[in-house]
Amino acid sequence: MTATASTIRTDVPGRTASAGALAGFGGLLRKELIEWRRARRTWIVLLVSTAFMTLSALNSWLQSVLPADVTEGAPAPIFDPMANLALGVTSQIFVLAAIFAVMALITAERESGTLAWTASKPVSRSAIWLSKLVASSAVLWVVASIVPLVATVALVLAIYGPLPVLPLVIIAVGMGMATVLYIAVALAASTVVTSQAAVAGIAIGFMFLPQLIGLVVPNMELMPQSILMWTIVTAVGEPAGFLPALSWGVTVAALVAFSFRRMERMEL
Amino acid sequence: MTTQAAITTAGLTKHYPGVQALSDLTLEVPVGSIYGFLGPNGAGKTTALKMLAGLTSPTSGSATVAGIPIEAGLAYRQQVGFLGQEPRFFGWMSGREILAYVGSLYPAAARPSKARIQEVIDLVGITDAADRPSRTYSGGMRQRLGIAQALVSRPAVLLLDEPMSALDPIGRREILELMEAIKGDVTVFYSTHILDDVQRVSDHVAILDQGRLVRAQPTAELLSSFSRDRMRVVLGFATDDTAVALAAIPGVISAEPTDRDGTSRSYLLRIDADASAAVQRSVTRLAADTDLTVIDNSLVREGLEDVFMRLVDAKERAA
Repeated sequence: MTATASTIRTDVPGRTASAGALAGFGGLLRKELIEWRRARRTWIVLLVSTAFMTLSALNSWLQSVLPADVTEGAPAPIFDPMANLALGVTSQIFVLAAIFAVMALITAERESGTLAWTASKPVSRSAIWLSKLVASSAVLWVVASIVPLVATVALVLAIYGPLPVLPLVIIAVGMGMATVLYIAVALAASTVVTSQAAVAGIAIGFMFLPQLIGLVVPNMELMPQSILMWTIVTAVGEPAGFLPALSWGVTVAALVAFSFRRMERMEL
Repeated sequence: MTTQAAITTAGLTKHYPGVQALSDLTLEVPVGSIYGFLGPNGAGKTTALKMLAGLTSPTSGSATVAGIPIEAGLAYRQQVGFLGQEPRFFGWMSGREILAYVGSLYPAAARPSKARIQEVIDLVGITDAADRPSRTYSGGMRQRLGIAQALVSRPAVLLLDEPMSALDPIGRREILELMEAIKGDVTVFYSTHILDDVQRVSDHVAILDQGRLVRAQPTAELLSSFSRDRMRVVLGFATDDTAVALAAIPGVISAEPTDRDGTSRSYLLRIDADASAAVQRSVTRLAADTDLTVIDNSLVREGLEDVFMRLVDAKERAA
């Protein structure tokens, strides 16, 4: 209710809106990648995943070198290189590590106010979410899957014998797909609940859902959680169909769409 | 395109389930002003600022910054520099990195240069700490960094939510001086409940209570409007009848004895705001007619705190 004396121009060059639903994505992604590079959790995930996967693959060898009375009652050791590698991969430690590593990405920022601060800039909220998905998937694929896989492969080669290259590549891709799926679940959950424990609970519950409902759901292939097993089966040359890959694709797309919608409507 | 106000709101309303956080806020914030947004805790200040920052959607009503409606989203937010209450930044980033990060979120043509980042660092006085992780910053430094990140992309409007609330007196003074330093370059709209700060730096003020706008005026005009209806009169040799005689003067609503010192007595007169000059003349005449000595016969200068309390109290009484 005050009179004003001056005017301001709004046609200043460079003040046009950056078009698109992912405005600011480049800057946001760069920040996420730098944060992962500097964070201690990146190294913790790498060490834990590598230790767990290599130890899993080491089991058969340990059984064979330990005194018989120590390993009494244990199943007979397997010396097939691919089977021992699969033991490490199917332990899914890399999935658990990824869930725990990302459970705070949105909830902590929401609580501290940095999410609101970022959202007050000319960026789209979908871009904020997507930058976290892309950066954490890329980083965790490397530190929780690729590096441990390379270490495990080296161990398997040294102890059990040679491995074919193509199946290794397929397994590495499968681990990446599983990583993306569970990170997408955790980040989607973060747009609904505000506690880190709840995010982890939802993501881990999703992970174990096939075991819980496996008795009543006849075709487990339809569940996206089967993507890792699908890639391992494909890697060893068994017929595996395409349903798990389709299910994975549909689920990730649905999670992205759901999260975009939730982010845009979030009260910060 | 030109516009007359840096910020306009029309009927801005926010309703949460069971809570009417803000009702029908209609304001115009002049370009280049420092506009204080006053109110007690829970008055709706933060809600209003969050809506203006594009973080929360209004239930109804509209707002513009530099003539751009809030619905414009990205284009709107390019005009706004926002600093939330008790701001937290990424502690692992240095102050300089935070400013560069903020810049990277803008379209290329609006992205601040390194020189601009250094200019803002120098302006807010964090030059020596600019390359240290921001988690090592004191509260005052964090607040100054907050203003720097809001300023770096040359927005039309700065929205600051309680920028002084968590600071010690030195930190408060630094932020006030900073606000005075940037006055004119950018419009500053800030919320606070520290009335002294508003009186010191704000040229306009809006008072909010229980989600409703109570008053919005230039600060000086608001203060003077409340300084025309109270007079302090001190008379030597006054008697018990003097209060009755003062109360009988045309334009005087009430005359209340407030103090007694030797032979002199003090009175607080409530008067019609338009009758102050006539009442002053009548008091002088009364003193002359009854052999009293006029020691003081002046309008009471009210501070913003008094005005604020009177406005809020009056609203609560009316409610």
